[in-house]
Amino acid sequence: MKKWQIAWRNLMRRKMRTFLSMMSIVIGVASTFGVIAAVNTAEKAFPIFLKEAIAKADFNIAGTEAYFSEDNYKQMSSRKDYESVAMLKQNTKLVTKEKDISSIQKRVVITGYSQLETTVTGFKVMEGDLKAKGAVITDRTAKVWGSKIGDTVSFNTDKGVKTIKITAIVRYTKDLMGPSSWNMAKYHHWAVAVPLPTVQNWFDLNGKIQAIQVKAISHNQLDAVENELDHFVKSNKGVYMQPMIINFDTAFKDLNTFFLALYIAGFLGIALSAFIIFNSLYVSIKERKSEFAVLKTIGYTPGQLQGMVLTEVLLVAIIGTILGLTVGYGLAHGLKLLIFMVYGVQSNSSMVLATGLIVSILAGLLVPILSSWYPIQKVGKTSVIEVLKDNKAIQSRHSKWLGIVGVLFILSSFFIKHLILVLPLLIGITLVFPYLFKLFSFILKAFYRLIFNFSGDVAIRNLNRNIGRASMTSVILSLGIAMIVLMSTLNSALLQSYEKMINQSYGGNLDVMFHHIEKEDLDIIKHIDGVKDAATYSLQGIVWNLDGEKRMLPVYGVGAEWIDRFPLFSVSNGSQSALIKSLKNDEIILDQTSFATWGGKIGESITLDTIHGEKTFKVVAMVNTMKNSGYGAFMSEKNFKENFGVNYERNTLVIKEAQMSPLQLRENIYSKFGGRIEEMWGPEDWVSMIGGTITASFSMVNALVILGIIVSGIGIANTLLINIMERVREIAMMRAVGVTHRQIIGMILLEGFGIGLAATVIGIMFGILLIYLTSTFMQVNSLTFEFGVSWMIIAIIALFGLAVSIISSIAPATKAAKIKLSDALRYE
Amino acid sequence: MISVSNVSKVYALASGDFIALKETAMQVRKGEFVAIMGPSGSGKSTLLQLLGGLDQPTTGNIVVDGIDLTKLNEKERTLFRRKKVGFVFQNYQLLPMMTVGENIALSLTANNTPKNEINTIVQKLLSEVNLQDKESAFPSQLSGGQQQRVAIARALAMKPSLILADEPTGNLDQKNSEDILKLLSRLNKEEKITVVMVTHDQQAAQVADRIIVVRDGMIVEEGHKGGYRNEKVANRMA
Repeated sequence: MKKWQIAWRNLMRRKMRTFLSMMSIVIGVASTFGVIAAVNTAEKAFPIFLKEAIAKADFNIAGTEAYFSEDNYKQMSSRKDYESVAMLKQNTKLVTKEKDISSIQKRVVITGYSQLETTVTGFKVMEGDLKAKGAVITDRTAKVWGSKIGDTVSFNTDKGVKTIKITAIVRYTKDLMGPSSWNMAKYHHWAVAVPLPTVQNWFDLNGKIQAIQVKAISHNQLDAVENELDHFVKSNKGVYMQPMIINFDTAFKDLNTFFLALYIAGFLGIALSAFIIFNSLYVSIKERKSEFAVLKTIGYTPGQLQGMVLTEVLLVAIIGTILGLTVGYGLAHGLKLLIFMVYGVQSNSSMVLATGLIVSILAGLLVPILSSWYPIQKVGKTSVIEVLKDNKAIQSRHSKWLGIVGVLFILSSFFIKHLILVLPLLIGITLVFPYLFKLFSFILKAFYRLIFNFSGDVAIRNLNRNIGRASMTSVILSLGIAMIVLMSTLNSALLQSYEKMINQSYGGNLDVMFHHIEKEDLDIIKHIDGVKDAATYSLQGIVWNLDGEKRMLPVYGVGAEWIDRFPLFSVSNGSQSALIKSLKNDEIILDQTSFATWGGKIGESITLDTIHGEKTFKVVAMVNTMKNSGYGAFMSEKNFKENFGVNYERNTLVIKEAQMSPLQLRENIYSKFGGRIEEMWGPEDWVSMIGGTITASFSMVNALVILGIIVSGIGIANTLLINIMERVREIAMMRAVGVTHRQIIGMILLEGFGIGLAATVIGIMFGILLIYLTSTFMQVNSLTFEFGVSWMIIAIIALFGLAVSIISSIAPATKAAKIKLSDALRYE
Repeated sequence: MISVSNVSKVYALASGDFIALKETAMQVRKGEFVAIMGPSGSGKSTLLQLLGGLDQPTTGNIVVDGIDLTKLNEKERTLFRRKKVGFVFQNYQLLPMMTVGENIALSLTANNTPKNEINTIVQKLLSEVNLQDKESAFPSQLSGGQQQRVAIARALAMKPSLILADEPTGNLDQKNSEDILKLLSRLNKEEKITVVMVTHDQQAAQVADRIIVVRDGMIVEEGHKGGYRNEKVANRMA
């Protein structure tokens, strides 16, 4: 008890420093806990969400034409080993009193279900009853429409206005995906579920359906059900069966890189804490040398002294960790919400805290202990004679071996082709930093003397006097700056590369997705005002059998006569049309992402499910595309229809007249086809959607790095306070001989600014090196991003780094100016 | 030169108010060398600090060279110290990262004096304290006596009319102490600089024209050089 009390009293002797050290532990633990818990939660929740959202069913039976007979479903529905639901979708317009709403914003997809309350639909009722035979909407839609159970909703169909009562409000689900506001309705339609006969009656489609979704009663029966369905589709013409497959890696392609970046940012937080604790403790021990020497003279052993300091460290670490975990829980929650929002995942899954808790508690306790190891060793080695003689401490020299090891670490990062290279590079920077800082302060000397006269001159001398401490403080900020330079530049480079790639492979200015395209539709589109040219294409998700695993591969049916005008991919040599023309019946082209997933070589074959059974296709080329986020394969239109049996097309590519605005073009097309259009997407929508995801992801990482930079600000304040405390008499003497308040404040601010300037300049240099290194391997889909530096970003970061250093110096400078001369210069 | 009237200084401590000086009054003539003696905690250093404008009295007035220090704000007191007063401390208080020359030039640099002028003054002061060959040395390379001579040179840089020395020989051996006292005495005689020196040292005090004894915050005795009282006072304080 006494030991802890003494430790507490010692800590309270230096309240400000204790507070700053504790803050650094709090932030370090919080960032570690927050990142790990949020990422673990996301990793657990995403696949569950995907399974629930996309593939609640195990199999899907679709028609080779847009509709097929409901009799097919009736034959199946009596089975006992699976549940099935027949579906029919139609597009229509909402009748609403909402003002200033364009017709595009009123688009609704109504899906008729043969049964609404099944495990296949999996609707989670919040209010109302799924058996009440009315309309089912999500809570999100109900909120925007202002609807409640018992209200009616009306649609403007070809057969006039149809009205139905809302009988159930369900939790938001991907099946009934809708916009979150009227404004977002410009980009996405509303969705309503109703009983199947309602849609059939409203749209004159009695006896017709477009899909049957099937779910096995038990997982063990999957194979038996597949065989049954296979047999069923073979004995019924005009239908085919596909298993519902989710490929997590393709659905959230860049997620792992994003999570790694988050981990690195979290790691930076705890690493910065370690630096601050080391720094703070090192100085504190130096300051208390006489105290330790006296204790030694009265019989304290080195072990007892070390134990005393260790108790102080543990006390700060325990309190800091407890507070950090509390803050970290909030951070984890916030990060989780952000990650889910950015990736459009709706999930109420509970937080996964165990790993985060264990790692952050260990980090919160071990990092301070490890970083205090060296200073604590020094406590034991305190020489009584030397200290009591009041000998000036000989400045310890940074071992040249550390510098060499640092250079080796930096060089090693040149050979690592993964974002993990950040770690050896940061370690390397840390080790070589004292040399760089010395060099920098040498250059700074002339500048400071010239511009800031007396204050500048004294400030630079003070920096050089405590160069070890100053450089250690500076390196903390420098690492944060290097990271944020990399992240911000990567963000803007990725955005530019994506934009370039999307525009190169979108196939025009607009992609209009119909329920199905009739023969005369293409001509009608071509004659719409603002349309310069148009072409239709086929697209179907095809089952790809890869090493015993089933994957879903989007395959495009491409016409050689239009592909050059509507490029869906880019080729390095020759034209797209020549490549398509050269394709034989059993040949296919893969895009770079699917090619990488496959892992094969040009000339080898992949196996796809066709209407004729499994068939191999020779991969003859690899192309680049960002169409529909970039993942797929291309074959000629003719081969596509022969192999996959889908005889109707749904998508039209449109090139607009130069003077036509993208929004006006959409309005013109929509006013012609109305409810038949399901979706309209332009390259600008993809750019903004992908850009939003990238920017939001990077913002999260950057927010953590900024937190780190703020911690380094705490480090600067801490170091300056230590410097001032050591120099109280000196500063008082300067004031006594006529140095003004202002000059003292200027001197301390310039010391902080010097630390910040060195950190900023060196940090930016290494940040640019990081950009270069990552540009040698990092790819945006298929496009290697080009090395480039945005000077605007660099300027903003530099200003931020310098602002942090100046703001952190204000409190110490004020403290220095307020030193009471009469006390400081008293000897008695 | 210096007029102190009814000066009290009270420090607010956690344990209650501490009266460092009680209604003290004294006069120092221009060109006079005054030694202030007294036991530890008697208030002599407080008196010296008030004379130098390092602190403000709680009550009373201090007028130096016609300037009432109690009427000056912080900045004016700083400029007063810079231009009128030279401080000499027991621990020399030289800046370790500056050379001897740079230390001497400290207040000149803070005053933005032109470089060539600084050089001339520094050379003159170096020869005055007999350290011509030490201009580029760092304080850690000098003996205690040499360091105190640098401190005196620094105090003289702005040509002050008053030198306030707080135990200037407190850290020195006898030989060095004698040298420093001789230097202060010479400055007082030749340059007509008023010197007020706080000291414990009886021999040091003997150099002064007048000795003032402070006890419990009050001036209790006073004696003049050559006079019986002065010697008696000094002996009693030893």
